[in-house]
Amino acid sequence: MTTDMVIQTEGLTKRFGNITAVDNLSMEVRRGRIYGLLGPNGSGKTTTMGMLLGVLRPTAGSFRLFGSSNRHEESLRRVGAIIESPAFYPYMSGRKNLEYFRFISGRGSSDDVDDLLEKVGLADRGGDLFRTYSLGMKQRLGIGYALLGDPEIVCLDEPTNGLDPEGMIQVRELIRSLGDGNRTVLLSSHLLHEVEQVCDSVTIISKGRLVVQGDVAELVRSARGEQVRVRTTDDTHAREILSGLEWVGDVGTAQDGALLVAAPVERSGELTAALSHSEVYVTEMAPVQTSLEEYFLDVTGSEEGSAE
Amino acid sequence: MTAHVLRLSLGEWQKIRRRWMPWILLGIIVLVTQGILWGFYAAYHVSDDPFGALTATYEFRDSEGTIVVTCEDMVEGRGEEKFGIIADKFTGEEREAVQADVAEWMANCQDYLTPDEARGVFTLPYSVDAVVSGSFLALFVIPVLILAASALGMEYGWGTLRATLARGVGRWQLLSGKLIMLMASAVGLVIVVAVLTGISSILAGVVPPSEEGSFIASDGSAWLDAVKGMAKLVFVLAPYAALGVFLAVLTQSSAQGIALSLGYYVLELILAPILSGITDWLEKVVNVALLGQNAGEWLSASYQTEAQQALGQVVDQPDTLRAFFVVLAYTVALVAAALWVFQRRDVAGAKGE
Repeated sequence: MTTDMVIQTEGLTKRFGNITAVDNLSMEVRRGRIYGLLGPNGSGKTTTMGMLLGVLRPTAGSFRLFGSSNRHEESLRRVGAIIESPAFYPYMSGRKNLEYFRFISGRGSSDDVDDLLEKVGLADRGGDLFRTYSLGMKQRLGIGYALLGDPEIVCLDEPTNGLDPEGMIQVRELIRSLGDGNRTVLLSSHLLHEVEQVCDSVTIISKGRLVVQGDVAELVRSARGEQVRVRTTDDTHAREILSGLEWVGDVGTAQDGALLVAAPVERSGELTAALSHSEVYVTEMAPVQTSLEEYFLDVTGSEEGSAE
Repeated sequence: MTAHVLRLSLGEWQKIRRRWMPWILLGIIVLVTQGILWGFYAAYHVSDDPFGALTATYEFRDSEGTIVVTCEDMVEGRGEEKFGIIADKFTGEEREAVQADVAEWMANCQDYLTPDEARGVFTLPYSVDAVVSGSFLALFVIPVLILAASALGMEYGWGTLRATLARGVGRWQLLSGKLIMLMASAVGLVIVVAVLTGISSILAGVVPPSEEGSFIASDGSAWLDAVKGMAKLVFVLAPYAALGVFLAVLTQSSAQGIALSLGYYVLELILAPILSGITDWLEKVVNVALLGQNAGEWLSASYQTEAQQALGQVVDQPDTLRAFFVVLAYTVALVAAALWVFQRRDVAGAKGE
């Protein structure tokens, strides 16, 4: 076990009656990175977070926070989190809510509360009752709550839910800034582009099971490198030439008629040379821009593509 | 660890004082207790004998005779004398019939209080002792049940339990903090009612009609008894606070927790006399097993009124030792059960209650 690992789960399982929400999930989260926990609705993201945060009891398996499986409550004092929709006392103001949670956890000062309200854009409305807040404001307060006491791990469950586009951009920038330095951010989301924009690493889960875990850039690159889109002066001839090359896989056709060549992007030069040698000239060539979304659909199956 | 629990208790106070419900409950208790006290005060002044008197007219062979007997006559031993006024007009069965009427009515005087005793009800510190006695128990139990069940149940409804636990607050510490705050609230409730009762007693001495002497007794032991009575009431509220919390944990709902705990309290009140009347064995079971019975027993006084003495009624000595242990056992068992269930249960998100 290395101290670099701040979250480790081993065979983590949670059943609700006959439904298995999380199934034998083993994942690792390193210090100082922004992790995306990605999966379709009902895939077990929130349940996983709930177990890590001690509000749900695992049916089987175990997990460690900061390398320790004991003294979970002490470890949790180094964690800030929002799970599902932010829940606060409706009869208290946003500021009083934060002050209450600051008080019971014994971390931070009153000034911190003001700073956090400023940071999440609620400085002007901090004195208003929580029940008068819009969904977006509640989310902002939730993020402020998660940041109380300057935690080492910040777990955010769908933090941009209910935010307007401008708010989403602000929150994503905020999350990125949280990942600077030694802090770890675990971001649960079903918004693929959000994870792609914000996270360094991603854990994709489906039906409670781990599908894949790795660096976002690497995963996307590995998917992206498989195909090159090509247009030539003679596509029919080009297809014959390319199909004859050993290192080229299938040669398909895109909807607009361009050729989709299964070949590594870094061998594009050789591909051009082979075509020009037969007097077929490339008029357009580009790597196929596979997004995390396409990758996600590929690995989880298109029937689960409900993740927006 | 203790400091953390105390911090949580103070946090509970921060929340509870910002809610309307506890203050409304306090207002209701104050209004009812002071209303009863001042009602009694009014009755004391309006009627010489607020408990009525027997006025009966009997017809004889050639004439008729009227007898008027009050409870005060009975307590002061004038019953026979009053009866004697018309006794010589009766013979045989008639005499026995009238004597039976008088005896039957006199038995109803068991609740009669002499003027001095009635005055004591609103004389400090007896007035405080009267308010914190078992007669007013329901007035304190019902708010405590409501407050206890809502203190945790509302958190399930709002979803704030998740937010609290996710900050590394231990479950048993959280529950302990709530229970400490509930008991502190019970202490505050009893003190507020006692202080207001004291103020009422003082006011009763200065507002017309003017009284002879003060409504403040100089009997030192009576003051100590009043303080003891307050402490005993707080002790008896502990199992009810634990009951409300336990049922809120069990149902994960404020509304269901309140309904079930009030239902239990009322059911005990209804069942106890019914079961006690069936067999002696069941009566013993009721006396030992039911919380309400023992709570009442723990608070009951062995004081015998002058009327009871005159009627020769024997006041049962309350078994306070047994009642103490039964109340304590309920408290410990309910707190343990609440902790056991709370430790093992998943905490769901907001239910929107």
